[in-house]
Amino acid sequence: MGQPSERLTGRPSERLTGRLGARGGLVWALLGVFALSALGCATVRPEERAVLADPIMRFDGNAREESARQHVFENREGSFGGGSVEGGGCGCN
Amino acid sequence: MRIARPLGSLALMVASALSVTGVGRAQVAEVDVRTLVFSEPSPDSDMMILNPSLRVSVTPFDALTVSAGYEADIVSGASEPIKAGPLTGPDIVSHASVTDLRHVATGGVTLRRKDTTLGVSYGYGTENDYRSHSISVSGATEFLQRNTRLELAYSRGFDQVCNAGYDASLAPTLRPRLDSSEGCFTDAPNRKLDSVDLDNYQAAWTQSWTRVFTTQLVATFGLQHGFLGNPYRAVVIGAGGQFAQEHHPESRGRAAAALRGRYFITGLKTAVGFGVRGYYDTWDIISQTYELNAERYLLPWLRLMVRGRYYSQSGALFWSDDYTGGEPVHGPRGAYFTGDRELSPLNSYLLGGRVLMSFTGGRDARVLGAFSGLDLSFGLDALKTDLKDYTWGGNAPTDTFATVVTLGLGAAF
Repeated sequence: MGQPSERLTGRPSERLTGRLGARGGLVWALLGVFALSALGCATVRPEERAVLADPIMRFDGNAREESARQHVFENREGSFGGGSVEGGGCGCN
Repeated sequence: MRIARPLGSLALMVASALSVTGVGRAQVAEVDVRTLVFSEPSPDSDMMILNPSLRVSVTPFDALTVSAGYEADIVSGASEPIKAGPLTGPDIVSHASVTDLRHVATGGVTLRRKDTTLGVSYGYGTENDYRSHSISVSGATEFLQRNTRLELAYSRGFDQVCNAGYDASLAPTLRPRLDSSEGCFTDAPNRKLDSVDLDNYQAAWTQSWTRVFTTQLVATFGLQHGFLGNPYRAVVIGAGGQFAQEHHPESRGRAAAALRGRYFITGLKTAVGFGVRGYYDTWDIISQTYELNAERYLLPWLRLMVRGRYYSQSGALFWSDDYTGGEPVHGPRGAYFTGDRELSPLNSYLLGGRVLMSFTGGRDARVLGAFSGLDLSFGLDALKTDLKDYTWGGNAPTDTFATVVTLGLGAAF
């Protein structure tokens, strides 16, 4: 057998940053705009959170069931990650 | 001896949680029982997986939650131990029965103070041919009147997989596949253990934009290192039918970013959700996922959700349906070879839904006289996979349709 392709060897973190580096500036710029807009204008007062606090608006409304479904996908597909986490409308600890 | 310490720690954690409940100090104790049934019928390669799980959590103080859980994967069916392509023909494809049982025990602690949450958890998994230890830590905070939530999480896995006892210096083209789990995790000379190290990093930003609209942006990075193939699977690599254990690169970097949102349509009293995810890894798999769902209350205690999902991915750089077709040995399809369909280009389509019944009581009005809350859920999804390039010796696989049934019962005391 021949030598492994250079693309598949070495430290994965280095390859990852190398591939993403070209578009990294644009991604960070978009994230920055998104964050600034959040800080600047998005304010829902506590008394306005009735709908957001409803379980129907939560991203992890049924977290364990969703985790099990994601496990199925990961065993039938080549990708992973980006799953929903706690949060969403509630803000009601 | 190897498993005594983590299981002992877990037992201590459960005992602590239950003792707190027993003396009546807990404000909330929750028990959650779920089962997932995955069924992939096929005349050649059917597969059935049962995934029952139990989780107990206790919140003795507002600032502390202790939880413990157990789940199992009960697998029965058939798989293809030797992968051949169209050039070698279907006569070399064989199907072997598969049965396996995986146990996973978990325990965790969550601390809360004002708008900040910190969590630590540990999990131990064992099966005949695989053992895993995982540690996870996470931190989250809310600010801007709780309109903004940021979360960071990290998990580390220390796994071991049983393999055929060949020497590491043996050429990949000569390596035998693992024929059974007999002798695994013993001193048997024809068995060895390979390590798999897993690091996952995740960051999430959840934002409420209006009183009816919220979004979530999630970024995940993963690093895997070690034996990343299936030790049982072999791939035909010679025109004469010679085969060897599948051979994957030892490292894989993975990245995913997802944006999802939920919007409540007041006129329809329905919440609609969308999700978009992009994924890339250093094996050159690029994928995209699109999700839509809608959920509404049919009754104050009854919710119905319908959902759909579309997924598409490219194949790995070293993927080939047939490695006997003259690929250069110095290229990725010569240095590595795989029979894993998840590394081939594919699309998948999902349609499904869920019914959730949720009853909430109080101190003076317990549900069924005992619970402060009770949830019952039933979900059904149909998953169809379109394998663009994967065959069993040139024939299209017959196990490309699956159903996923979920049943859940959650009770709070």
